[in-house]
Order: sequence, then C-alpha cells, then structure tokens
Amino acid sequence: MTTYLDGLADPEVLPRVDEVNRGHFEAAARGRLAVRQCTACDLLFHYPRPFCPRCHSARLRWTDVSGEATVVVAAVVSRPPWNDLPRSAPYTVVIVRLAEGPQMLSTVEHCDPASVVPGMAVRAAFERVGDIGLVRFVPAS
Amino acid sequence: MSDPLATLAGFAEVSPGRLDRPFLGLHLESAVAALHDAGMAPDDVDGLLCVGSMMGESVEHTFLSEEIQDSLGLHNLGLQLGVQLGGGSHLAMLGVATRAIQSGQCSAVLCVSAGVFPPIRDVGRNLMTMTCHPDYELPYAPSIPTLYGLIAQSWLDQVGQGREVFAEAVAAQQEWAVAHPTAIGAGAGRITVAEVLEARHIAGPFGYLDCSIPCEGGGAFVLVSPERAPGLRHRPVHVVGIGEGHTHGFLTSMPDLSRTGAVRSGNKAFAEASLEPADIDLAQLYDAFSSNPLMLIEELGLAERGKAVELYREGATRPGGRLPVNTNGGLLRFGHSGTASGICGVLEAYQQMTGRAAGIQVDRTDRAVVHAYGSMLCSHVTVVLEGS
Repeated sequence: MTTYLDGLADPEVLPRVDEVNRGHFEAAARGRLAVRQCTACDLLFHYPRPFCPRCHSARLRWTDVSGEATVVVAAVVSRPPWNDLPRSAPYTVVIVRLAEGPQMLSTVEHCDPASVVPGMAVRAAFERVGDIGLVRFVPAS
Repeated sequence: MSDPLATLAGFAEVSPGRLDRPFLGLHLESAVAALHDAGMAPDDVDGLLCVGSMMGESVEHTFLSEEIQDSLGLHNLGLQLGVQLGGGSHLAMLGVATRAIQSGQCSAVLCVSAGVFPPIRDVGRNLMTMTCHPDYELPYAPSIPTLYGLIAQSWLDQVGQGREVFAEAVAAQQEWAVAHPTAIGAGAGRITVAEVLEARHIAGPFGYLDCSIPCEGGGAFVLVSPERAPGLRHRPVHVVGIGEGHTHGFLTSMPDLSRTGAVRSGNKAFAEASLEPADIDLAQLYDAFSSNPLMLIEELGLAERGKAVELYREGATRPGGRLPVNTNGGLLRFGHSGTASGICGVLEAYQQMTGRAAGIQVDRTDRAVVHAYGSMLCSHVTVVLEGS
C-alpha cells in the first residue's frame, strides 16, 4: 500500500532536478524511495551526490529501500518560514533514519503534529509534483 | 601566562539597529574608528581582512576588501582577503590574522565586518536557500528556527531536559542587555523565564523570545604583533589559542544532532593556550537561538553535559556571577547583525578585558573564551584571549 500526498509543496521551492539526483525524484513520483549506493564500498547514502562521500568513487547505482524509518528528532513549525507558503501551519519537520541507514530531513503527515516524537516508526509517502516526487512520511501504523 | 600569538590593539563597534547607512560605509566608519582607537595611521596597516557579503547585500560588493582598501588608502598591505564562514567568519578572520602575524607576513591587521538583516519573512525563501540545502531540505519548508530547533530538541532529548532551561539563558542575558546603552532588546526590561515560555510559539522548542533580534550593525578590530604590546594605548589583550572544528555542511548530514564541532575547536584552542576551561572567567558564545549558550558551555567544557543550566540557576552567568556569559546581551538581546553577527562576541570580550564595557563592566577578567560557528552549527571556531 503506497500512500500519495498532495497540496503540501510550495511550487516556488521545488528541487532542481539534474543528472545527479534525477533517479531519486523520478522514483518518488512512482512511489519508490531510491537512494544512492556506492558500487565500490557499498555505502548507501542520501542525499544524492556525484561521488561517494566515503570513498569518492563515481560508480554509483540507485537502490530502492523499504521506506521504513524511525524519527530521530521532530520540530513542530507554528510560524511558516515565508509569508505565502501554500500549506498551513502547524506541521512537523523531522530528521528520520531510514531502516537501511541513511538520514534525511522531511515531514510527517496524517497525524497530530505534536504526536511525532523520537523513536516513532514512520513509512515513506510520496507527493507527486509534475514529473517528480517528494518523499515525506506518515505513521507506520 | 600563555604565549601570545597576536594582540588586540583597538576596536570599534557600530550601534545595532535599523541604520539606513550603506553597506560599504558601515565598513569604512568601523575601520577608521578602530584604527583611531588603536592610535594607528593608514600606513601602519599591513593586512586587511573583511567578511564577504552573506545576506545578499549586493553583487556590487563582490570585491569588498578591494573597495575598503581603495577607499581607505591602504597602500602598504601584504595580506588582503575576504573571509566567508557564516557566523564563524569573524573568528576565522581573527585566526587568519593571527597566523599571518605569527608567520611574520604581517605586523598589524585590520579586520572589519558590517551587516544588514532584512525583514525575515519578506526574504524567507532566499534566506532559507542560503541556510539549508535547496534541493533536499528547502522543499520541506523548514524555517531557521526549525533547523536549529531540531538540534536543540535533540540535545534536550539527550540530556533529559525541557525547553525551560533555554529560557534561563534569555533571562540572564537580558540582565546584561537592560544595562547596555545600545542593546536593541534593552527596552523590553527584565524578562522572566515564565515570559519566555509564554511567548508565542515559533518552531520546535523555541518561542519568540528564544530567537535573536535581526538588526544592522558591525565593527572592526586591529590585531598586532605581540612585540608591540608595551606601546599600546589600551591593556594588551592577547590571542593565545585558536581552534576550528567542522563536522557537516547541511543539517541532514550532521553526524550526531546533539554534539557539535565545538568540542574539537574548543579542545584545540585550549590546548594551544595551555589553559583549561576552568581557567576561563568570561565567555562570549554565538547565540542565534537560546539553546546555544547552554549547549556551547557544555561542548567547550565550561560545564559537564547537562549541567550548564545549573550555572544559570546559581547566577554564575549573570552580572556579578563567576562566569559572565554574553555580557552585552548576546545576539538574543543585543542584536543579530546578519553578516556581521559573529564580530560582536570578540568585540565585547575585548571591551570587557580592557575595562571599557559599554554596559555592565565585570570586575576583572583575564581569560576569555569566544566561540562562534557558521550555518547550522557546522563550522566552529573557538578563540581564547588573555589580558596582560
């Protein structure tokens, strides 16, 4: 069961898609969480970079991960960062650790913002914006 | 007595506020006033450092150090550089100047910075593009308080404390600010812990009063060779240790959200100074948010982990206390001057150590630690100062 979200992203601050990150954002549009994996040292890493941040190999592949993650820390945003952000506050920004290791910054949706706490199990959900997708999270259960 | 690496000889500080003065002009007035304070003429200066524009002041100032050099008629320079390390720029600049003096490249270095801080929410997208990753963080619409809030909350979770401990720093720093003639937050009068906790919520563990006050400002200092100390107009204040610690470039990559590069920068600075944190009697700690003073006190070893709040509750950091912290009110209450923000700490330490504090003068201070960092607690610089 893949969860899709909409109406959250600000069209003014969408990611700049390029050859380094296209695989991640196009996979997210199809409901998959793809991260970079180094073929030389096997490191899984996010965000996408042109070289492995551990061994500097440029031989990288895209690896789909489970989308299961744990909240590391959460912050409820009551005051949006700019005046005309389309989504309404409050919302919860988090750092999550994916089950496979990498960390990412995102939001947790579909729950009371204040209920998001460290250790909470979440799973990836996907907001399609044009040809790309943004990875967000929802409670695992 | 530690070995002096370089010696502060003079300073100037622009009163923070909404100044309506040109970006270059703020640099020039700071530079001229600092040289005057040091009793130096243009030809005495053989090094010029400034902080590159970081708040988008204008592309016309891409060559800022050249503009300053030309405007001030500095024709004797053996070093000129624009430094950019966010809020850590100013202490990094002090580090470059110190090493240039140590190596003999220079004997007198003028260091200057000025900044403006536009109304936050009018420039929110641009400001956030500068302070978080534009592709992997910005689309989730974090604010600066949110990003800091994630780090601060992580620290709270680790030490088992609540946001009320941060309010202690605001209340203590306001005690310094109310007595400071140019602190822009002074007019609010005393602030209680309860008032901080009741202020409207912004993000994470922060309410309105946990955030620093954006303003315009700046200043300058002159660093000279220690051999010149006997001839200086003011008490010589020596740079005796400098350390840097760089752990990450974006919050997403921070290896441990509750620990920072300040541990490394502090250890290196104290080691070079042959001093211990316990020797310090004054601390100026970069405080964009109320969480920083407590976190940095612990990261620098001035208190054990989880114990900084005890220093606040016993009054140690307040006027009359044994470890005064952010004695001009800090960025929280003196004002956060954007590009220039990180210069305030070293200027305040110097003023205190030469007995020229604009606000409350501490009785006697011989050894100070000044700490600042760039971006999301990424690029840490610690400086240890000792009065002669």
